[in-house]
Amino acid sequence: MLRSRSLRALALSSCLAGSGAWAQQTLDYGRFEGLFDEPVTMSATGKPERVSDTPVTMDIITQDDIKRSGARDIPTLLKRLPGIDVYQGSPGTSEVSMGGFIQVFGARVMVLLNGRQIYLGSFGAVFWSSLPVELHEIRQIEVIRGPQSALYGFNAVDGVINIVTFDPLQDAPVTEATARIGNDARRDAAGSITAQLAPDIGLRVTASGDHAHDEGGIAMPLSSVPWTNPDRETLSMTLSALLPDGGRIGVEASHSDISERSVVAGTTQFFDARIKTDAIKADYAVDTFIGRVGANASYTLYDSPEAFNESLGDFRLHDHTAAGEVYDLFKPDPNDSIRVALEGRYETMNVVNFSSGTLSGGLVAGSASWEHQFLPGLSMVNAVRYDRFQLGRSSANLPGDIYTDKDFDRSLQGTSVNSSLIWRADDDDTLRASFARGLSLPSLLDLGQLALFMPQYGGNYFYGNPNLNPSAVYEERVGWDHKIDEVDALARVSVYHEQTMQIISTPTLTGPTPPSPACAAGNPYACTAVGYEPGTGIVVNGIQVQIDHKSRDGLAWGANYSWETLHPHTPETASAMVPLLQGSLPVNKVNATIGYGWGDWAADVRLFYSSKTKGIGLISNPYPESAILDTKDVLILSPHVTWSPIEDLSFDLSADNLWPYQDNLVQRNTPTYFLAVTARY
Amino acid sequence: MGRAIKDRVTRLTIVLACLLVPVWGGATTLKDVKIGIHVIEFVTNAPSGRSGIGIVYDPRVKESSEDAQLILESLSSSSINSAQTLKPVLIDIRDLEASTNLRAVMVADRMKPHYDTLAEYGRRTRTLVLSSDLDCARAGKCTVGIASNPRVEVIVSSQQAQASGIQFSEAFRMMVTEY
Repeated sequence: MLRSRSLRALALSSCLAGSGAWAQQTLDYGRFEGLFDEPVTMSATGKPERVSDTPVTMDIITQDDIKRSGARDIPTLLKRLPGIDVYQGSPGTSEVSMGGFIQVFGARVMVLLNGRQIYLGSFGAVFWSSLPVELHEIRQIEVIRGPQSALYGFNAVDGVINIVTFDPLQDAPVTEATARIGNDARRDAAGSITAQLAPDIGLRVTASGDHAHDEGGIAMPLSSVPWTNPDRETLSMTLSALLPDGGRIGVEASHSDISERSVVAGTTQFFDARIKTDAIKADYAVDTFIGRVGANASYTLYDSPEAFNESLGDFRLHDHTAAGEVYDLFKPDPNDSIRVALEGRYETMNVVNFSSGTLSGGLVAGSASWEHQFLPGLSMVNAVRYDRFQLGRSSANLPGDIYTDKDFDRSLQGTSVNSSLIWRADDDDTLRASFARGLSLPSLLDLGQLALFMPQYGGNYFYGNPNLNPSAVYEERVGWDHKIDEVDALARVSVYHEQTMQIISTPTLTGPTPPSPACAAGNPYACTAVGYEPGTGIVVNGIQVQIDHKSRDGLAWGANYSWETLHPHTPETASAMVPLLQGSLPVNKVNATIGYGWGDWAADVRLFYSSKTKGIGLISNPYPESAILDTKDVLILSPHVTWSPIEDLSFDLSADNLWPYQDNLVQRNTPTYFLAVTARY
Repeated sequence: MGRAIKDRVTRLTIVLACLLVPVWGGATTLKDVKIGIHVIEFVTNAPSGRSGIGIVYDPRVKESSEDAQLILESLSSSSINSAQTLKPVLIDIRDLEASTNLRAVMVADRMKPHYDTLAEYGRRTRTLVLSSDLDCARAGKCTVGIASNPRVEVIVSSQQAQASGIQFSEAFRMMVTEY
């Protein structure tokens, strides 16, 4: 019977032959966590597994961690993990990078909310404050390091961050409200209510509003441009239901409306923008005779009705993304698990004022992953995915356009691979080794949406380039986890080597550059197009070390250290973009924390150190203007105290970025203080 | 030289013997019982109308009786069996054949001589058989073996599950060890 079931599953899977992102909302995390006494995840391999069994280096930030953190946003939580850099260009904005690499307009970290892609592929960016999720409704934040393109497709080349929220049906109801006040006119409020509409249907509704006054930010020559204060309003709904066939369905809908000043990492470029985001997603999964079969579909609309950039001027941006996936997950025999999937995605982007028309990208992908257990404690996971991306353009009306719509009628494709070995040598030691080939897809901006005349660069036209190709990223990584029973702590070491084969050079970021070949054919205007850096790419080497002892009561402590260095593979040919990348992130970083919980109280102090890097400062040339400058080392403190006088009420007093270094950088992280009151009802 | 090699072979043999020789299950812990309750929830085709959970023991063996009592107390505790949807009942192994209306049975300590009887009962009555002796599941006698220390381990005997007509959710199967 088992054999015939396996054969049927294999037969169907050969028809599906596909790829994958997933339907996290349909996995009952709470019940599995209760069973195994540790968090579970679907993010590492696409199949449900215990975190200690994952073949990849993975960190989990749990709700308990969040409560003890004193943080008010997700990037603040992330920057306390090893190997993660958070570039805060202004209060309220963050750019999160992993693996010692930060690339402008080409973010290399895939960010998902319950499996829905938040990463905006058209812009190559993640607008963190637009995420329609509050910290109190997060079950866990899963952080996977290294390329994961064989599971998540293009752009998951430095890692994946998946935010998983509580299930309104299966988990304890999230019914709480938080009000927060702080310096810089900080005023936040957020609340959730969970209701059981029927025995098998749960619903959660969350609303929030944040406001602060931006005192800092980039010092720009255009002093007439007013500061944009970070404002944020969100409304979200999550529904979960059990169906009579044993299947589970999840529906999420959300709206967010933010205003912020984003500063592009490693540059003096900033964007003042209002971004409205509407999203809806549905998941369905059911156990069948061919295994666990699921499907999900989502639609996301980004609309930026007001945006301004020093170089680009005023513009308005629209982005529509529709995505869908079907998958089958089955275990044909006791030692093998297989997942196959098909994924489709269609995205259009239009920037009013660029006159470069509407760019579109249609993607189809198929993936398969196979986990084989050789011995109890020794297993291997192999995954492969093929992506085909069809580029298109319409309605362009650009004077002196060097391209025709036909130039955009081309497809970009590639294959990604992940292969990992995990060996639980004994009860205390786990070894991991992995190889990955990921693919980084140029953003639609780089592929051609960028097309405009810039008087400040000598009247040059700057163009995107539809002839760009995905860039391959290779990584080898080994890791060792060791449980130290004497102090109830987990220690971890991870070493990696990563090479990115081609680096995209974006001329508007590097200033005027010589005319590129794409512009040469009888073009009447001075012209530069997006191209590739010469040479064979960028190499990053890194070591991450961490140790953590987590405890709700008594002493809790932990520390981590990251060493990550970036250099061109062939230094003699490196040029424009490399100086932007090199040194734009610190080589050495240390996080340390110590805390104590007793009765109704808990107190924690966190220390963050980073070696010198680069930041935006002021120079006289001869008039004051912004420029990229070397910074000093950074050492900051973040204390937090929480008090719960009664079970359903708590007070949190937090500070961040205390003890900052003082220099001429105007874009440093400023100290923040806030008091939060949380009531559960 | 030859003596050194002989010593190494002896040490290696001892290590391999320790790895291969089945470890006696030992007494059931509170955490084992908690895991057992969770495992029952992942059966997708549980027969309707069954509300009992049997604790099978041998009254002639002191350790078995004591372990059964501990399991009974654990199952009666609201912290372990919060919904109290499963009614625990002690079952003398000699009375097992006559026991009905059971959704699962938990096997107490020192029941190895009766594993064949338990396996036959599970298959005949389509009942889930749980044991804190992992070797019971490895040997295909119990449906599920559970251990909680130092790490939670859940072992499912595919052969026994199939013979008993018991199906688990696919996600559960992905996360446990099957034999």
